Amino acid sequence: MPPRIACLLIPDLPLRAELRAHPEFADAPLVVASGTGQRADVIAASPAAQAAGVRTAHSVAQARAACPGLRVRIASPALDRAARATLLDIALSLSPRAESAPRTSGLFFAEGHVFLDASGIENLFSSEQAFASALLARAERQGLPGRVAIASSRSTALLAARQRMSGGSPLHCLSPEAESAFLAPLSLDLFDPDDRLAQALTRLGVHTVRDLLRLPRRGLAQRLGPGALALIARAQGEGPSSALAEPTSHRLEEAMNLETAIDHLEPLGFVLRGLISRLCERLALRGLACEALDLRLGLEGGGRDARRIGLAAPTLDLRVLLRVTTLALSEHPPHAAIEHIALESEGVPGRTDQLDLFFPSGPDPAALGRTLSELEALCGEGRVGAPEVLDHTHPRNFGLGPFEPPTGLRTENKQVSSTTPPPPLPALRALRPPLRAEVRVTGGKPSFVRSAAAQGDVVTVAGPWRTTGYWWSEEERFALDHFDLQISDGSVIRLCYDWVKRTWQIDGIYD
Amino acid sequence: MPAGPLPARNALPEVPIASPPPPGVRPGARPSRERISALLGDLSGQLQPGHTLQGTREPEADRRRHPSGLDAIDELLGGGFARGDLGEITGPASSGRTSLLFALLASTTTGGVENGGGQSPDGRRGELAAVVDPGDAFDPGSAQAAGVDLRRVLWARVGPGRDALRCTERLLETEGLPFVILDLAPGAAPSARSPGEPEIPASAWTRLARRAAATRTALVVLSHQRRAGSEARIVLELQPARAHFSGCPPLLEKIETRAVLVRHPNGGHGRSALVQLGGSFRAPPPPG
Repeated sequence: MPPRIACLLIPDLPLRAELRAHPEFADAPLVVASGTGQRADVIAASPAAQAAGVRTAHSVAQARAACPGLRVRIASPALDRAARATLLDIALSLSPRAESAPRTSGLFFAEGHVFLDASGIENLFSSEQAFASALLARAERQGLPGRVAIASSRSTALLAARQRMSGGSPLHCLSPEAESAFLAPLSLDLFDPDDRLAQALTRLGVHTVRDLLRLPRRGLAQRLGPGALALIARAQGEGPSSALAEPTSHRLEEAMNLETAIDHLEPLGFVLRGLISRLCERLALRGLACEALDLRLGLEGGGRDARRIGLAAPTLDLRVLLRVTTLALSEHPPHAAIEHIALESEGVPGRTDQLDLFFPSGPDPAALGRTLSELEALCGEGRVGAPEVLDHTHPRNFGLGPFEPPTGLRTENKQVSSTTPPPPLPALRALRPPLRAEVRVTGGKPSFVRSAAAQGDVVTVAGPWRTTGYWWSEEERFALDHFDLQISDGSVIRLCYDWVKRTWQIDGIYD
Repeated sequence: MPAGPLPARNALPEVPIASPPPPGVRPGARPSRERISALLGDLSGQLQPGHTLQGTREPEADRRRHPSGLDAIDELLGGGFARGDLGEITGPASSGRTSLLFALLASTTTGGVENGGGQSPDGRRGELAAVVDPGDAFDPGSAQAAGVDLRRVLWARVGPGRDALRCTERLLETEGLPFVILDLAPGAAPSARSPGEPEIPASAWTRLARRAAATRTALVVLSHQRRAGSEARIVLELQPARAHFSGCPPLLEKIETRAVLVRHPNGGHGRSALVQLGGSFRAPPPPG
């Protein structure tokens, strides 16, 4: 059975890329120009601009003359890249194998297209037509309305999508038997041959596929160049034989050049909201979530700023991601105004959990992920998680690990000791950082304490217990004498003498 | 009483909505007291008096509770802190608030949640708990020694102030986190040390209490003094009695404290019990 290839084609990609980033221009007469200045070419025009008489290949001056209220945007490579990548994401949301076609430079330089494997889709959709409709609907939801064609090869699918652009339905499903009849009357302009070959074929009176296939093959490459044979192969419906590949990278990027540099957080928030929103939509298309954001800023004067914003759990919550990003920027603002923003994220699968019938249900993993991310935005990076006791004697022998509670179906590795554990001490309430204390020592032991946490004569004293470590490190070495004290004001404290700093401090209260 | 058959109990009364007003009554005038009484009489079968609205809350006996594992405390609390309630544990430094908190956490995370005083449905599996810690006072080593399964504890080291309330609210919105602790007891941070820290508005406590009730989460607030006002359904005050040192050289063994029930939906206000915290923990049931 021949393979089935679908082609999603966007005829005016620069315009759609611009409208994705600036949806407020959706109904306005808008053109995308190839560069700055009045002589720059119009490469895409919105329907409103076309209705006013603006055409592609006009200069900006001509376009302005035809439509006085015209808005002109300069083609942005960053937006173009993001839009092309979005096409691939849309394709991957419906098929496991897809490839984005490289940008072309000829007659169809403004179009963007992606090929996806449509073999066997009748198991998921009622027909190829239904599959094409679903693909088209997803593209429209992403602000990329276009056309879809399905055929037996990439080149035929692309030609079918281009041919349909002259009018009629945006969907075109070609059965293998009907392909030859479809290709025969097509104009060779749809193949976009190079200028030299196109001129040669015109001189010979060859205008359609049918005319081309009538030419004798012998000596054709010598007379017209090697491009002629490739053109014949495409005209016969043959395309690249390589199969479509599954994507290996899930790294997505959204970027934007700003017209005017931004030096305040509030206006930057609007720009970030759009970028993050589009990034989340693309991740959602792939069924992935965002675990970290790589933010790259191009600054006024040529400077650069790059930072990685981690999240406690994968999430697609726009509010959380925006808050985390603005928090990171407000804590460490860039040193100059921002001219360019790029956001990258490596998509990771969202949290899943197998629930158990016989155990109480825990939180929904996705909801827990959102909660963790939002808490981290409130508390700061690395300040939310499951507490851990580290296996060393350092006074700060604790850490925060990821909050991944064991579920009912996972094997618990916790060893249950058969012996009764020693009874614990009264709970310690840590003071971070430790409070400085004034201590009177009598007979080698504290007899009076004055600090913000406790003040009075020492009623009972236990200790000292000495802890030392990291003697090889000037910064981290410690030597502490700990005492447990009951003070006359009723408090029971843990006092320590720091031999390195030569100070008394209270690092905890028994409570 | 109008003549004719009575309306069916659940039938809507036939009130002529668009009928013209009786002669002498101005259109748009307020209905008379008699007409309102008649309407209420007709609707009496379908309306409930105000005090029965309180009954929409789950019966006390059926509510799942988080016991501490300390017999005296659990007896005072009627089995522990009930889900859906806002409870408070108050007391000065060294009164045993943190020890009681760890006992509650140990019981929750290792599977001691009881159902109306009976055996928990799972009987062995621990549940999740969250600690909102604006004073950064949670000591993992001490909690582990008290039997807390740290893997099931979500520790949020939030800064003092309104962020702590936001954090708590967010946790209460998360279904499946049955036990949340907000530790407002003074810590080392200057803003958290002073008992007279910025007052939390009553509306914030109302919001937290409603969230806890909506998601059936037990919210326990630790503080130096009462903070939640009338929104706290259970208030337990701890008064330090004395610290026990034993042996030679002396070693700190336990803290003795008096727990006083200040507020409880079942009454019993003013009841108290002497509790020893530290060396007298009941060993939590082993997981599995």
